Amino acid sequence: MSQAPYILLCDDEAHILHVLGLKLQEAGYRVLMARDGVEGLALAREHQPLLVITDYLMPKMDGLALCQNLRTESAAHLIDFVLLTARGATLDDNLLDELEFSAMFSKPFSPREVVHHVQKQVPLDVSISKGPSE
Amino acid sequence: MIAPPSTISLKLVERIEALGLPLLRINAKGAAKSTGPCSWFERTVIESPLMARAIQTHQAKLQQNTSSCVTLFPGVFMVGLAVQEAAEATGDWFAVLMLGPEVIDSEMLRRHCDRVGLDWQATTSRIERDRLVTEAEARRIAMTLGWMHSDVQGIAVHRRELRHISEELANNYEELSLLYKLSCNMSLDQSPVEFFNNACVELQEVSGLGWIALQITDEQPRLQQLRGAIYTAGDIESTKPVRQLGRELIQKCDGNPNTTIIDDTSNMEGVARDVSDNLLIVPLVREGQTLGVLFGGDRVNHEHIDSVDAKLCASLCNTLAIFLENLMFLEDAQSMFIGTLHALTSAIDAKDSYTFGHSERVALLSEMLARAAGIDEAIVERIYIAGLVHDVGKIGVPESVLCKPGRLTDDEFGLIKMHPGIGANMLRDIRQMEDLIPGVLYHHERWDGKGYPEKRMGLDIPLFGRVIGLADAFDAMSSDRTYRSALDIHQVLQEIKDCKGSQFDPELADIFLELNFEPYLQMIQRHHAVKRGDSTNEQEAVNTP
Repeated sequence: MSQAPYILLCDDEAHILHVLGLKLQEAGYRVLMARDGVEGLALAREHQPLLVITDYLMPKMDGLALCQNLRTESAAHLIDFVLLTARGATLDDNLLDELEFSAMFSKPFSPREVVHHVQKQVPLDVSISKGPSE
Repeated sequence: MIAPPSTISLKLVERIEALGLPLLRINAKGAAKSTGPCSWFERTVIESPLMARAIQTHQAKLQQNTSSCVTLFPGVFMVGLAVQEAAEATGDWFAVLMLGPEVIDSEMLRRHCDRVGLDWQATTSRIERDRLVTEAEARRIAMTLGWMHSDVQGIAVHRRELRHISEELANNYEELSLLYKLSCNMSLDQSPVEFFNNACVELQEVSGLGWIALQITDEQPRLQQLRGAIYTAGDIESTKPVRQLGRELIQKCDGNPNTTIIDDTSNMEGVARDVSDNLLIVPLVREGQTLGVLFGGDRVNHEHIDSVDAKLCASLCNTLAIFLENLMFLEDAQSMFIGTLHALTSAIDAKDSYTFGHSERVALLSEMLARAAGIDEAIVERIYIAGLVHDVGKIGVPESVLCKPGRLTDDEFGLIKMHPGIGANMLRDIRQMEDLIPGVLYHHERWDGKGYPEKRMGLDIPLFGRVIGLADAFDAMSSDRTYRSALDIHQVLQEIKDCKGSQFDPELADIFLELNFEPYLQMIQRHHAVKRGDSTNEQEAVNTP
């Protein structure tokens, strides 16, 4: 039976994980939560999420390195990336272009807008057939 | 296995099963049933009618204290798992059973065997003795179960709380991000109309209200063009009743800043019930004055309007009210500034009855010319003000010279020629008026370089000076002067045409000749009327054809 797609949330701030996790679950997604890039990478390899929402600055492995790692893995070419940043953070534009984020949200962001974006990128009915079967 | 118990944690059930202890589900009559695997003998004991009676006798104690081990019969120990959450509709509860060696020789087992026709000898020989525990062991297990049970229940409570907190936090994030967005847009250079429209749209989306309206009061002259305006977002059939409701609500709140939720509008007077079934009303109040009211209703999904909506709208309204108040302060400052300038320039114009209203007319003409020339609106406003003050330096020229009929001597004309410099010096120390100086200093320069004070030529004369110079000359020729009578407007326009490229910037002169002079002519009539001390329009005073 096909199930709702996985969304990977990666942030070292627990409140961000809980707020976005709750809202994405309410919207019908299965949510994986990781507190750093290394944990996120392991979860992504195991569960093949269709979309990764990651913080930029995290311990062990930052959000850009996580995306770079996943982008180079062949199975991850379908993954869509969303970056969360602190307000006013300066990021290397070239790197951002290269990693092709579908959106960037500055904190404090609106959870509603993040969920809307996920729904647009990974519509539930379509993605179920596309998602990994279990 | 029967349906998993819903009132104790599945985690706890798993652990009890892993320990090999039978978990019992017990109904209100004390009848017990194992919910998981248990031995033949344990089942025999559990299903004994004697057990049910004993359980009923000890029920209160079993249900009350999880960690206490109750001995129902010698060698039959029971640990109740207190259910802190709301009891199930069935009234079922849970307990763990443990058997000790005393049970083998117990009276209870003998009576049970007699009653159900079992051979006692055969029964006791089948007992799985390695599953038996001593009373001391049973008490220790009971304590451990008690701790585990309360921990697991604590975790469940924390989970619920975490969910609740996350929900709250998500709302706060929405609110924070909304307020952040608004505060970024709160700059006074942005059009207030756009600001309020955006605020309504964003708020309606975040709040989940079906529609939202913001009505600005009619009764605040300091709000200028915003007075009585209404901004809406969401699903509104017609603005008319909403506007009327907005006015009613402003009257009703009368300076009271409290937020009101009305779940049912059917008892309200006025148009409220025609607009919506329920209403959230948040007045915009600053220092006891109602500046407007934000209201909305028909929550999406037909839910009740709740305190979260109210809080969100209230904090937004606070920001909106501050913005409105700032607009009022800005308006105060501007009207004070312009008012002061008018007073100053009228004082100068009044030195000579012939120049009454001259500065105001030059300001108007300069503004009209600048606008027609396609100059940026912000600069047009500055040109208007420069026009108002262009002759401010005349304050330093003796009245005897200013008002002298007939020709001036060279010395007298020298004094007149000082007024642009005097005016520029007066403004030099006023930071807010520094940019007006070119208009004051250079309005008597000529395109051909024969003007004063610096004999600048062509485009060396700053724009302000060229615009105001043209307007000044036009007004001087169109009105009576001490030394001559006013010219007919056609003559004046001909004069401008003739002096194009000598006295005036040819490009500006061409634009000037195309202007509609109606507002100017009306102003000149008004000035004549005031000068004569009546309010009738004195047609003959103006040389219109």
